[in-house]
Amino acid sequence: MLNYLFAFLTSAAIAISFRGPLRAVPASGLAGLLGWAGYDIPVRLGLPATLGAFIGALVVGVAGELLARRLREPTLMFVVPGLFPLVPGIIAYRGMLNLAQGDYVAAAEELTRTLFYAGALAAGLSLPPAFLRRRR
Amino acid sequence: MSSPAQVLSVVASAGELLLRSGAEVARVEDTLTRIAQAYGYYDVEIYATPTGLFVTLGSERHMTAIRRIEGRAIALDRVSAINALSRELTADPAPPSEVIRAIQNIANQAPPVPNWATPATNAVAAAACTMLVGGSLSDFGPALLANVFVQGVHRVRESLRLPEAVGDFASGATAVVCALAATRWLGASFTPVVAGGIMVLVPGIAFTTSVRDAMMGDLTSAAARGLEAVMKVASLASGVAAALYATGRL
Repeated sequence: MLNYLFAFLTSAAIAISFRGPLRAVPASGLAGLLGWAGYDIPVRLGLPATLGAFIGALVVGVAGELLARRLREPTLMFVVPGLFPLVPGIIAYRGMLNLAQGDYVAAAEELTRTLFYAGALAAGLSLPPAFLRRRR
Repeated sequence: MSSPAQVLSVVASAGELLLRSGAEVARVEDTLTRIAQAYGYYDVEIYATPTGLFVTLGSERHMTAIRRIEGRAIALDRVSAINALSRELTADPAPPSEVIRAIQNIANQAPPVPNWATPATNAVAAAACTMLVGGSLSDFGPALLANVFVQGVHRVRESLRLPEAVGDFASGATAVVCALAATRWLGASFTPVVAGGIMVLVPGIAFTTSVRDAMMGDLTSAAARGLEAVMKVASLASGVAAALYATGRL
């Protein structure tokens, strides 16, 4: 449960680091919290982490579109910090470390996982704008 | 109607600032097209990549501007301000000279929080995110400290004007040294502290954006960001591996 608080904190803090306008920072934190919930709940129910990443990113994307409309800020303001708790940087790093250690099997596994995980995030993130954005 | 040269200058400046501030290429192309149309230029071709921007106005007698994008860093306040400006222009296109000045003001505007606060928020974000990748509460403080040291290394790297990869290598090594110290004296666990140290540097967002760009068909952008991410993570990991080797842990 404490992790939800850390997800909020991560996204809010990173929003400030990325020079986000302060009035939108709590909303960025919220996007992070919701995205984490979208990842955490399916994973706890026993679904694979890649599916969790897809759902988490989907939630971040929807939250980003709605918050952007409400607060009149670009979606980037909520999507980048909101995604931060979910991104696969650490898996990629572990893969590279395995490579440096000469453990090529483990490296191939981790790096392939990174690719699928990033693909799941990107797919989840790309759907909401396609459906929610008004066509002109 | 404003002259093509002036409008071109408005469009190129707005696009340059957006790309420099980390906006997605598809959105940049969209925003710039709308600005050009606000001034009555419907024949507009825009090609945006993370490292360069090309804008052409007009069909028969056309004009082109090319801007090189250097020193990329995410700055959400600038993206937000340019977006607001583009909305205003769509409603009421102001004289280009005024708009150029407004864009310059946005480029020079002070960040929403003072400069000393950014390292602090970076460290908090890194430590909090470490908890999410499997750190325990007792690792929070050490991870935060390790991140502060790593940021210090990057400051030194900037002042010496060394390439970023050198800083990333040194950051990886610094994180290991901090983690060794933290496990010995603070009773923290090793891996979470290393992770916390380099957390803000690992290019997770770049990886994800790269895949997203590839899905949307922006292949140049996808390749550029993907390569950037691979280089970064490779430098960090070699720094960590070198330090592990030097301390006899590998």
